Amino acid sequence: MDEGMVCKREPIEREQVIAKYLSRSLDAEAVEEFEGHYLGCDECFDELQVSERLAADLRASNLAWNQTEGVSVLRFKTNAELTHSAQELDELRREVLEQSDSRVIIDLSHVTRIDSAGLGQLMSCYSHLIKNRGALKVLNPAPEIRKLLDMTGLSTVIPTFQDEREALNSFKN
Amino acid sequence: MMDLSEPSIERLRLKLRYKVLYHVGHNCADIDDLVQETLVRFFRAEQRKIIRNTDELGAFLNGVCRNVILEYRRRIRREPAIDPDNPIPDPGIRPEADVLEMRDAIDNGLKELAERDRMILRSLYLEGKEKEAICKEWKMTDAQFRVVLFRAKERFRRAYTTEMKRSAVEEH
Repeated sequence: MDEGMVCKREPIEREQVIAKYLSRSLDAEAVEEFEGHYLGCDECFDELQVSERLAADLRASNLAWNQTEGVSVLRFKTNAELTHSAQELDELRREVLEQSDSRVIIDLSHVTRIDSAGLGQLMSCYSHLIKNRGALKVLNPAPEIRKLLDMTGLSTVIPTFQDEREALNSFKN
Repeated sequence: MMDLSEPSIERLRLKLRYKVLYHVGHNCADIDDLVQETLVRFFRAEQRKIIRNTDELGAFLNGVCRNVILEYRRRIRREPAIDPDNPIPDPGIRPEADVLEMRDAIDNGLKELAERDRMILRSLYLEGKEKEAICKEWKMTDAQFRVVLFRAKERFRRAYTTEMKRSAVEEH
């Protein structure tokens, strides 16, 4: 696809260039060309900003967040996999490592699969929160996930609970 | 002749900020300095009339900005790492109120999207799939894909415009 003069093209083609730019799948030359274009084109820059907002919305779509008693509770709305290529892993990173919350519960009840990347991400979240003088607790892992947390020793580092109230109370101690 | 009115300069600043953020990331403490340096060089070039092709001001500005970012990267590679006793606070983490507000806005936007539409849009914006592959996967025509895409964008355009107006009112 020719990324040059994107606004002269079909709107749907322009949107594809924007989508690739946002997902960072344009090559370096195409990025240069598109940036050179939107710096001089208000219409394309507006479209880029709206699409970025849409993409941000989509990214956060499977991870719900709420705050109870000063603790952030993150839970997946539908079944999720915390595996190497899963979008959810990226969402989790964004929600924990890029935010300022320091007391976090991750509800794993909808997590159906976890691999070394997922376990590593939980560990990164834990280290990040500890560094910020906070804490991470895990809630409701399915038996097979619990088994993996035990086998890898992660459950000895990250406290695991079956009951949300109990998990929330643990932050008071 | 270039438009040097205040709104035009602010618009350029906003666009440059976007580009700089894209390349150096939210954790860079010098984003505004890089944008300012780009603008200074650009206007200096404009005053000296050394911009040959005035129809391609965007491309020229992009080149200036690219050089500023490259020089910045070289400079930080040469300079010693941050003093661990006096770390620079991370400006990438937004204040708590902003985070809460952003999350609310995202939740509100989400309610308006049908699950199927959301999955189609995820394929395009997050997974980087081509339109043809998406249409094949969802058994859609080009026209149906277009409707899904532009209906969602229109909804977000409205939300975005409302938010921008609200921010502008709050700033004044």
